[in-house]
Amino acid sequence: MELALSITMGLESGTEPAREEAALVAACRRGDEDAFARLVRRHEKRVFRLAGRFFRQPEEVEEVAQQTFLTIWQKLDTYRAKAPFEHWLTRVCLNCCYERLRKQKVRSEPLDEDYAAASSEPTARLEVERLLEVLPATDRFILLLLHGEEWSVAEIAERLGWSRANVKVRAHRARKKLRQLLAEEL
Amino acid sequence: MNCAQVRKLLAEEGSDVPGVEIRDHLDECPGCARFAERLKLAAEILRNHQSGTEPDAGFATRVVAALPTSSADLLGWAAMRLLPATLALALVLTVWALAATPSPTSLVEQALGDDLWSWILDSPGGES
Repeated sequence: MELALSITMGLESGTEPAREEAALVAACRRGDEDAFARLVRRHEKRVFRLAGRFFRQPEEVEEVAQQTFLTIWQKLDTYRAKAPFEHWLTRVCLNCCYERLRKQKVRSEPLDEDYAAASSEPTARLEVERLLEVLPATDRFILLLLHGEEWSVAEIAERLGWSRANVKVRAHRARKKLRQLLAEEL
Repeated sequence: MNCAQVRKLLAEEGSDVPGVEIRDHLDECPGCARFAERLKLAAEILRNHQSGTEPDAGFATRVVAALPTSSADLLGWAAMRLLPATLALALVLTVWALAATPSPTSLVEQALGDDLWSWILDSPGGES
């Protein structure tokens, strides 16, 4: 939620941090690697937290974060600065997460093993954990944005650059799949 | 409202605050009550799913070190991208050169033929 708020708010253009960030972006465009390192340090926590929504292993989170920043560096020329840099960064990070999840066929680790261990009803929780593991990664991606980030369809569409209809269809499909899986278990 | 309708509504709208009709159904139907409970659990797991991984102090340095900007990197990248094309071109040129080069036997045959023509043309009355 905190992440969602910070993304929604962004940096207001014309403020000192916004001007500083614009200067950093401009320096990065000229190939200034020191400026890029400062830009990475400024946003690394946000990117790790977002990637951490979808991946549990620290190595995976770091790889996705690194891929995000490398993409940012390579495509900096395409950033038009109409929207805050954070919005663009979020979109790039979400796309990196989505692509990685899409390539993963079967999830190898449970979604939340710590919770499962601490649960008052471990059997039910483990069962649900297992069902969520069975869900296709792309369905889990949408459900994590809806339930984890608590973003609306419109917010997901805006941040991913997808159409609202596309998000709606995917959300409907993911919920239907989850419903079917839960019903099968009863 | 039947079980399928209740479950669809629960999945679409969430099970946190079900309507009166749904609540009545859940009170009477243990299967759907169990379904609602599992759905709530799934939403809770998704909501709390966060690896909690934090970047260490060297992360930015590692990212910068991985940037493909130096000329050596670009050269290496270009070499890797051009290598298959270069190898294919070399192979085609080799095949072409081998096919175009006459074999020793054909050279001998050609020389004998030339000698024969020279003898015919140079011999007296050969041109008439």
